[in-house]
Amino acid sequence: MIFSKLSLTAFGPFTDYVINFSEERPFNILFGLNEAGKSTILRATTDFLYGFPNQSQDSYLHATSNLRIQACVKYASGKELVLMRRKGKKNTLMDHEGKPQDDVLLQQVLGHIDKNLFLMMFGMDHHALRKGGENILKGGGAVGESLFEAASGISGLRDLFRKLEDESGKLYKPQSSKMFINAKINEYKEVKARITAGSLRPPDWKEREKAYQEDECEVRELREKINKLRGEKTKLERIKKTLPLIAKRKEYLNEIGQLQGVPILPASFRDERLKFLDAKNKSLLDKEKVARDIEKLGQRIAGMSVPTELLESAEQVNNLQERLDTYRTYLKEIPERQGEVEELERGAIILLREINPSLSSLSEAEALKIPLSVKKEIRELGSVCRVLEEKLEAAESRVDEYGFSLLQIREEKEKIGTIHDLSELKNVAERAQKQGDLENELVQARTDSEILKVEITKAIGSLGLWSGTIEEAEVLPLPLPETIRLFEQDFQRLTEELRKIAESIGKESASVAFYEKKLIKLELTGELPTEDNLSEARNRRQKGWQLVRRSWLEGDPEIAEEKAFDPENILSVAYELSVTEADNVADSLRSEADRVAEKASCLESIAQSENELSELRKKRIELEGKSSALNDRWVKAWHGTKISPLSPNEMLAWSGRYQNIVSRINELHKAMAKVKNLQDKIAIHISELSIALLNLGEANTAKTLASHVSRAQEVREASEKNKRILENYEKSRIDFEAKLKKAQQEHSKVEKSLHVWREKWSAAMSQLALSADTTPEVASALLDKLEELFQKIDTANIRKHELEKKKGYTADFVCKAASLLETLAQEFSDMPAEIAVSRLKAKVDQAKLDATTLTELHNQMKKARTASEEIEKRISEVCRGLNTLRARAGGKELSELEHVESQSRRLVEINNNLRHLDEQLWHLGSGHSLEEILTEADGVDGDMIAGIIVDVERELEALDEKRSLLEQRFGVTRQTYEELLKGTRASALEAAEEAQSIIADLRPLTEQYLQLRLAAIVLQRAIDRYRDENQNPVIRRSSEIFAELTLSSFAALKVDFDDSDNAILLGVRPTGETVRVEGMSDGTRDQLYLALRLASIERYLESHEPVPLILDDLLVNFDDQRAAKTLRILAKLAEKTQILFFTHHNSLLNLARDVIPAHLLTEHCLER
Amino acid sequence: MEFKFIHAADIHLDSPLVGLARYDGAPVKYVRTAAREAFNNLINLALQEKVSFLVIAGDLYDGDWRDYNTGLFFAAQMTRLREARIRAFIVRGNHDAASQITKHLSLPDNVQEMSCDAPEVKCLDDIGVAIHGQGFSKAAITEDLSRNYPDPLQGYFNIGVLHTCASGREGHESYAPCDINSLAVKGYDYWALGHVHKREVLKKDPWIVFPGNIQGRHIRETGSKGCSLVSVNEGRIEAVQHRNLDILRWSLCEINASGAADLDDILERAKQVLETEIAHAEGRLLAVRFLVSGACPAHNNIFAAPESLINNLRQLATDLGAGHLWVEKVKIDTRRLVSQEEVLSLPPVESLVQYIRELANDEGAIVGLLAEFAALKKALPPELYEDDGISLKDSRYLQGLLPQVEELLLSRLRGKEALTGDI
Repeated sequence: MIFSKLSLTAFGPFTDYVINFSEERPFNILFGLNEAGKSTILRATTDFLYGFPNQSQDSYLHATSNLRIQACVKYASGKELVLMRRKGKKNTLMDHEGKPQDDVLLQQVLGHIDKNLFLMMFGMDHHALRKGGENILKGGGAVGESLFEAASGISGLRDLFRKLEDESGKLYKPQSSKMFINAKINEYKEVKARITAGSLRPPDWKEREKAYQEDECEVRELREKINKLRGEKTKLERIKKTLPLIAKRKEYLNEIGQLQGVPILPASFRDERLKFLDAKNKSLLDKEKVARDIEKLGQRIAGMSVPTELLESAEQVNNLQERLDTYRTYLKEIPERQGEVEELERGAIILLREINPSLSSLSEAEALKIPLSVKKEIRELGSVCRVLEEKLEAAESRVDEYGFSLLQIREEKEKIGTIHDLSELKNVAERAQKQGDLENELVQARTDSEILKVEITKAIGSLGLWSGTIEEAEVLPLPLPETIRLFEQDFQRLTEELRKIAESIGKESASVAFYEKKLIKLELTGELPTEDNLSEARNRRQKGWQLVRRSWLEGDPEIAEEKAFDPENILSVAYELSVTEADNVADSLRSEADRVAEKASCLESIAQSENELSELRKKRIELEGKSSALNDRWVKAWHGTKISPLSPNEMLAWSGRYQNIVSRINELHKAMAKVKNLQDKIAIHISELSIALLNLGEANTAKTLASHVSRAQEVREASEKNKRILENYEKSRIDFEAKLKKAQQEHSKVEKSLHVWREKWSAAMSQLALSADTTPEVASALLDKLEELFQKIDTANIRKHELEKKKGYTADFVCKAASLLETLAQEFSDMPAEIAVSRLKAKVDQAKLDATTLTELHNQMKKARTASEEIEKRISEVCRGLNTLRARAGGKELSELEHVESQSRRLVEINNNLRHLDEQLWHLGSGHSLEEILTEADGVDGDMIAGIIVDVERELEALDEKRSLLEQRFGVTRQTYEELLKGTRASALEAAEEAQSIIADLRPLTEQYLQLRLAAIVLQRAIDRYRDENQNPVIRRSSEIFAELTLSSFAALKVDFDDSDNAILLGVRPTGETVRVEGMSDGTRDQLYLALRLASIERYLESHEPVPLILDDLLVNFDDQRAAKTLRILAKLAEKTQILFFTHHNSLLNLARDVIPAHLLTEHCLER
Repeated sequence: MEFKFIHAADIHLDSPLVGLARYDGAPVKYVRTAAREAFNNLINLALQEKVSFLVIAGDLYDGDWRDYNTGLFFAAQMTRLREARIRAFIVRGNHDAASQITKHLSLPDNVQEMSCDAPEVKCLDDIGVAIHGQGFSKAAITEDLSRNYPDPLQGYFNIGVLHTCASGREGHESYAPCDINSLAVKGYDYWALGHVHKREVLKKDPWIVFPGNIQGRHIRETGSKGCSLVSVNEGRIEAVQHRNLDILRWSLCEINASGAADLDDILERAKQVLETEIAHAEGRLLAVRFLVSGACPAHNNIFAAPESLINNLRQLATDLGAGHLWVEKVKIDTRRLVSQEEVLSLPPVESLVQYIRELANDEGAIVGLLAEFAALKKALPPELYEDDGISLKDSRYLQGLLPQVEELLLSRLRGKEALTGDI
C-alpha cells in the first residue's frame, strides 16, 4: 500500500492542504523549515492509518470533532481507494461518500501491525538510530537480538530480559529467604509447625486422661486419711477438756446425796419471812403513837370559844372599811373646790364688762349669745375677702404689662417696613451660577485656541513640499491615502517585475557567455563542423550538381550563377570541390561526433538563451513603458495641489503628517466656537441679573458676571433676614394680644365676685349689730372675746355641781358608822368615825381566825381514829402469813426457819452447777451424747493425753503438706483436662486456616514467577531460532549495506562466537581484521543498526505488501558522504516501497537532488 | 407417633477453608472457625427442633487431620444433645475410615457408631424406628455395600444410612457405588446418603437424599449448605426440608467485561453482580471469586497491571460487604478485541508467536522446561499442587501457561504505550 495523495482537510494548522504522491517517483522528500508543519504531516500519516488518539494535539485550530484527514491509497493489487479519517469513537474511517468503512481495509495491508509496531518498524528517526546503536552495544553485538530488534524496530530487548529477570528475581531466588515466594514458603513452614504444636495427638490425650484420673484418685485418698486423723485429734482434744469437768461432776453428785430430805424453798422464802417480822414490829409502834394523838386533840378542842354575832355583821363592817379612804379624801377636797368656783365667776364678770360695760351680772350674758352658723359665715367671708383682693391686684398688673409689650412691637415693625418679592432674582442668579465659572473658562478657551493656532502655523511651516495659510491648508485637494497605496503597489509590482527580468537577462547573458566561451574552447582544437555546415555543404553540392546538370546534360549553362557558385574555379572543379567539401564536413562530423554534438548543444543553448534574451528585453521595454505611464499618472494625481510628489511611499508618510495638521485645524475651529459660545452666555446672564436688581430698586455699578452674581446674593440675604425678623414680630404680636384679652376677662370676673361678697358681709354685720363697713379683722376679735366669756361661765357651773356631790357622800358615811357601833361595840362610839371603823374591823378579823382553827382540830381527830382501826387489822394479817411460812418449811418453829433456808439454798446451787457442767460437756461433745462423752473419757489417763495430741498434730502437718503439693499438681492437670474436654481449642485449626491462606497467596505469586521465567526462556529461544533462520540472508545483505555506509572503512559483517559461545556480530576491516561492536564508534554502530534495519525491511518487503517507510530527519548525524551513500541505498529501497523522507535541512535536499535519480524523486516543499 | 430427625453428612470437621489469600481488609477474624460454627448450628437446630435423633452419613472428620481437639469438640457437642435426650448415629465414610480421632475418642452414650464390618441395625423402640447402616472399614470401598443391607423390619420406620457415590458423581471418588433403583426397592422409608457435597434428592418415593455438606470449603462448593430435617408422622414422611447451616458462603461472580471501555466500566459491572450476591447471602460471610471475562478495549490495560483490577475489586468488596466479604480470587480471562492471529505478521514477532505455539505442542521441550523449575518445585509446599493448583510435575500445567506467556511477551514488546483499543 502506498499513498497517492494525502489531504489534511482539517488537521493541525492546516485546512485543505493537499500533498500529491507520484507512484512513479516513490522517493518523497518532504522539505520544510522549522514550524512548517513537518511533524504535523508526519503525525497525520499515522493518525490517518490508525485513527486519532483520544487526546489529539492537533485540534487547536479545528475543533476535535471536526478533525479530518483524507488520503488516496493504492494497493499492490492496483486497487485505489479514497478514504477519510474522522475523529470519533466508532466508524472513524469513511469512503469518499462518507460511508463508514472497516479499518481492516488498512490493517490488512499493514499486516495487522498495531500503531506502535508500525512506528517501530516503518518509522525511523535519528533518535531511533542512536538507540538502536546503543542497544547493539548493550547486547554486546548478540546476533539474535540485533537481528530481532533491527527487523522489528523493537528496541530494548536487553532491557526486557533484565526486567523479566528482575521481576522474577523479586518473586523467587533459590537460596534466598527475602523474596516473596521464599518468604511465603518460610511462613508456611512456620505455620505448619504451629499446626503440629497446636494439635493434640490421641495418645497424648489418653496420657492426659490417665494422669488426670490417677491424680484425682490420689488426692481423694489423701484427703480421706487427713480427715480421719483430724477427727482423732479433735476427740483427744475434747477428752482433754472434759476430764476435769467429769471429776467435778462426781463431787456434786455426792453432796446431793447428803442433802436428801431438805425441802426446796423458793428463793423468796427468806425475804418473805423477814418482811412479815418487820411489818409486825412496825404496826405495834404505830398503834401507840395514834393513841397519844387522840388524847392531845381532845384537850385543845375543849379550850376554844367563838363570838357569832360579830361574825354575822362582818360584811357591813367590811363595807365601811372599804369606803373609808374616799371619805378621808373628800373631807380634804371640799374647801379647795369652793375657792376655784368663786375665782371663775369673777373672771367672767370682768369679760362681760369688757364686751358691754352696761352689763354687770352673769345672768345677763345669755342675751349676747350668737348662733354657730352666723359665727362660721363671718369667719369664712373674712378669709374670702383677702383672696379676692389679691386676685384683683394681679389681674390689673397683667393687663398693664401686655398692653405695653404690644405697643413696642408695633413700633419695631414700622421701623422695618415692606419686603420685596425676590423669586425672579433668585432664578436668574441660580441659572448664572449653574453654568460654573464661565469667565474663567472663557479665558482658558481663548488661551487654548491661541496656542493651537500658533502650533498649526508652525506645523504647516515644517511640512515641506507645500506652504500656505491655515485656511488654504484646509482646502488642499490631496489624493486619498488608498489611492496612494494603490500607486505604491503598482510601482512595487513593476519594480519587482523589472528586477526579475533584469535578473533573468543577467542569467541568460551569463549562459550565452558561458556557452560562447565553451564554443571557443571547442574550436580552439580545430574548427568544428556543424549540422548546418553539413547541410550547407550538401546544399552547395546540390546546387553545383544542378548547375552541372544544366550545363552538361541540358546544355543550358547559367553562367552568372556558375560565377556566383564559385568565382574562382570552373564549374567542374568547383563542383568537385563542393563534393569533397561535403564529404569532408560529413567525415569531420562523424569523426568529431562528440565534440560536434557538444558544439551543437552549445549553439543550441546559445540560440535558446538569445531567444529568451530578446523575449526578456521586449518585456523589459514594455514594462519600462508601463512604468513611465504610471509615473505620469502619479504626478497628475497631485496636480491640483501644486505639489511635485515624491515616491508614493514617502507621500503616504507626508499625507499622514498633513492629515494630522488638518485634524488640528478642526480642533482649532472647535476651540474658537467654544470662545464665542462662552462670550454670548456671559452677556446674557449679566443683562438678566442687572434687570432683576433694577426691578428691586437696587442700583448696580458692577461690570463682571461674578460681581453681578455676588451683588444679587447680598440683596437676597439682607431681604431674607428682614423677612425672618418680621415673621418673628408677627408671631409675638398675636401671642400678646391673646394674653391681654385673657387678663382683662379675669379682672372683670374678680370685680364681680367682690361685689357679691360685700352684700353678704353687710348682712352678717347687721346680725352682730355692727355697721357694714366694719372690717373682717374687728369682727373676728369680737367673736373671740365672746367665745372666751361663755367658756368661763360653763366651767364655773360644772365645778359647782361636783362640790355638792362630795358633801352628800361624807354625811352618809358618818351616819352608817354610828349605827353599827351602836350594836356591836359601844366602847368605840366616842371615837371619830374613821378610827372607830378601823378598830371594829380588827375585832371582826380575829373572830374569823378562831372559827377556822376549831374546824381544823375536829378534822384531825376524825383521821386519828380511822388510823387506829387500820393498824389493828394489819397486825392480824402478819400473824397469819408467818404461820403459812412455818407450814411450808415442814412445820418448824420460827427460830429454825433460818437454818432450813440455808440448806435448801445449797441444794439448789449444786443442782444448777451440775446442769451447767453437763451443758459444758455437751458443748464440747460436738454432737455426741453425754453418755458417749462420759464413756469415751472413761479410763483415759489425763497425764498422757497432751503427748498423744502432739504426735497426731505432727502427722497431720506432714500429710497436709503432701496434700497441698498434690492438689496443686492436680489443679493444673484438671484445668487443662477440663479445658480440653470443652472442645473449644482451635489453635491448630486456626493455623491450618492460615496455612491455607499462605497457599492461596503462593498460587498467584508462583504462577506469576513461572510466567516471567518462561517468558524469558521462550523469548531467548525464539530469538535464537529467528537468528538461525534469518542470519544468512539478512546478514549477507546487511554486510553489503554496512560496507557501503561506512565508505568501505569496513568490508563486511561476520558472525562469530564469543567466550560464552554466544553468536555475536563482528565488523571486518578491508585488511581482514575484525572489530567487535564495543570497538566501533557511535556513528559506526548507528550505521550497523541501520544496515541491519534496512536489510530486514528489504527482506520483509520481499514477501509482504509494501508499506510506506517514514523517515524523519534520519541523517542529521551523518556527514555528507555517508548521507549520500545512505540516500543511494534508500533510493534502491524506494524501488520496492514508497519512502516519505522528512527533513528540514536544505543541504540534505540538495544532496538528494544530486544523488537520487531524478525519475525516482519527488520534492514536496512544505509551506503553511 | 410423631417425630423429627436430622440427616447430615460430610461434615469434614475442622478441615480448613481453602484458597482465602489474606489481604488488607479481608474479614480474617470472622472466618477463622467457620466450619465448627456451622456444626454448632447443626446442633442448635437439633435442639431447637427437638428432633429425636441425628444421622451423620459419613465423613465426619477429615482422614489426615490428627488434632484430637476436633474429637473433643465433637464430643462436647454430642453432650449437648445428650442433655436434650437426642440420640446420634454415625457411619464412617472414606475420609474418616482411618481417622485417628475416632479410634481413641470416647463418646457420650447417646452416640452410636454403626459397624464397619457388616450392616447393623439399631432399633429405637420408643418411636418405632430401625436404622440400618454400615461404615467404611478402609478409605477405598469399591463394592456396593447396600446389597448386604437387610430387609426392613416390619412395623418400624426403616432408615438406610450409606456413604456412597451412588451411580457416580463428578468431582467425587467413586466409592461404594450403588444403584438407585436397588435402593428404592429395598423397602426402606428413607435413605440417608453421604459423600456427595452437593445437595441432591435422588428420589422422593422412597426418599433418597444427599443433604450436601454443611459448610462449603472452597470455591467449588458454592451456594447454600446445610442438612435435611425430616418430619415423620405415623410412619409416613410428612416433610423433608433443607435447612441452611453455613457460616460462610462461597460464590462465583462472573463479570462479563465484553466491550468494557476501562477499569471503571468493569468495576461498575462487578458492583451490580456483587450486590445481587450479597443480597442472596442473607447476611452470611461471603467468599467470592471474580471471573472477569470477555473481549474488551480495557484488556490491554488490565493485562499490563492486573493488580490494579484486583485491588479495586477487593476494595469494592470491602466497601459493599461491610467487612463480611472475602475476595477469594480474581480470575482475569479478558481478551483483546482483535484476535492475536490478526495482530501479528511482523516477521520476528510472528516467529516468536509461532515458536511459543509450537512449544505448546512439543511434549519433550515442555518436559525440558520443567527441569528449569526443579528447585522451586522442591521448595514449594505440596498443598500447592492440590486441586486446581500449580503442578510442576505435569507438563500440561506449563503448557497451560504458554498463552499467558505469549500475551505477556507481546504486551512487553509492544511497549508501554500499547493502544487501549482505539482501533
